[in-house]
Amino acid sequence: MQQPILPSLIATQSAFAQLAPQEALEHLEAALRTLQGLTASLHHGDRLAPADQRQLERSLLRFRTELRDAAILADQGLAYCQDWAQQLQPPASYQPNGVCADTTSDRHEFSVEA
Amino acid sequence: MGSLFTTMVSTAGAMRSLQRSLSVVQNNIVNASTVGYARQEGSLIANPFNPNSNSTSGGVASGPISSSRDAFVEASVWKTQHRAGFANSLSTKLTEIERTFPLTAGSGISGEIDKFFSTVSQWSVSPNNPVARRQVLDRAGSLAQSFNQAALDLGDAAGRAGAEISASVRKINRLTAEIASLNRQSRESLANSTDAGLDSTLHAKLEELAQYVDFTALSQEDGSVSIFIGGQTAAVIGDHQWPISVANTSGGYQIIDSDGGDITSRIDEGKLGALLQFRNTLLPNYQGRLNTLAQGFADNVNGVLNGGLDLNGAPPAKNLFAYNAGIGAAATLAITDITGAELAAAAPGDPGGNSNALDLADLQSAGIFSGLTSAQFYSELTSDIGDRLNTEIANRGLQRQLLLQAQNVRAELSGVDINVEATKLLQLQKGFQAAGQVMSVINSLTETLLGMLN
Repeated sequence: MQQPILPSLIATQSAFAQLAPQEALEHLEAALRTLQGLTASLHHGDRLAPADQRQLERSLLRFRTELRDAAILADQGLAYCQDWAQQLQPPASYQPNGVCADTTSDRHEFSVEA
Repeated sequence: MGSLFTTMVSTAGAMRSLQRSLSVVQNNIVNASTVGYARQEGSLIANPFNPNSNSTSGGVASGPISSSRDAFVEASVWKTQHRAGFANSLSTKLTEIERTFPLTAGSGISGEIDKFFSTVSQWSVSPNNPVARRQVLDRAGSLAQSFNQAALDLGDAAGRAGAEISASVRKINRLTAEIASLNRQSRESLANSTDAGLDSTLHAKLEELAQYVDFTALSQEDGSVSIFIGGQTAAVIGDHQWPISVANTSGGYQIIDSDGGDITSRIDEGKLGALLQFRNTLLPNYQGRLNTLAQGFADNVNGVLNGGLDLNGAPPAKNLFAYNAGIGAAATLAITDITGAELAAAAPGDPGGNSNALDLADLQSAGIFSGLTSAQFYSELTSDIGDRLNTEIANRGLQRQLLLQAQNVRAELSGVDINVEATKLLQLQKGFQAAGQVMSVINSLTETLLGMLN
């Protein structure tokens, strides 16, 4: 088995930072396919030379760090979306009974699972 | 390959850039309804990325924040503001004086002229009747009072217009002083010269100024704006203001620049332009024609009466009407202390007759004003006022529509559209949620792989 090349997630981080999650998603899907291929290969019993195995391990650790940083940026982006939603939310609205009340709608709230 | 430190620095930089982008859009949203605010656009620049370098590289950096303000569109809004301010102010002033010249039959000066001649006709039927003579005097007095009232109304309108001219000049000076102050703040630092808040405050002041007077605004590189009233007279350059002043002269109100020069002729739009035209041109014209009517009417009536014989068969020693042309015939028109018996109803050689009274009654249909009768001359004056008022009301409606259109074009280019922001938000939400799911899978897979290698 040849030494596999793991993708960098720097471009993913950059896409999150530029508020372009769709672009980040494309990078992540490419990375996912690479990891799935590598997993399938190892499951089939392919073996790496000891030096290549250590190199792959280091690459995976680096990849995991980049993934963690990308997740932090995604968290920031989501927090921004929530803040944005609050700005768009009218502070008060008229209820069906004609009473003006504070808006409590949660239509823009969502959770982060990354 | 970059080190862990490189990645951390790159990530931190990216987060700062993200934070700045967020601030720009948040500022746009909270200022969506702020007068004079133009949408700001943040930009991001990718740093050079060399994966083989050990130094910090890659990531993203904040670029300059640009304003979506369009100078041409702003100038178009101001130009429409000048014209709308002019039409609005002039139509308001003309509406005030239109009430002085009613067109309803039997009312105002026109009605009093008709009543006077009607009374004279009745007097000609019984020329020696003291009651009929008394009624002619009473009607003449009422007619003189209606001229006095119209002249008083026009004088009051002139006074109010003068006060409004002075108030407008004070307002213009206050606004130009504020613009000079904003220019000073803008020049203090590079950050200030591109500050969206300062920029929106400055443009809100410029738009307010545009309602009062027409001006040319030139944006300078340091973020300041130079203002030239009427396109020529410097009112603000940088942080220096040149106030204008007002002078009430015999020729009308004059606007004086800081060098003492008369710049009245350069101000022909905006509220101030309308007030100047009303006070210096239209009102004097209407006052002059009212005086011509009063003087011509009084002179002709006096002339006919002086050519006859009174109740005692003697030529009258007194005029019926008196006035002071120097002050204004309409304002000073009054009947003298003439008595009913001194009114000349008879023609010379026919004492006790009614020929002179009939001649006086005939004045109603005589073209004593360059071929126009008194009623026609008055009607021409009132229709001129009415026509001009209708023109300005129509113009006001048109200019309001044009202003709305210009403001809408500006909002399209520079405004903050909440719907667009909401659409962006929904797209971002879906993108971040999908990315979060994929990262969760990748994270599990990475842990699995690390486990398999160990």
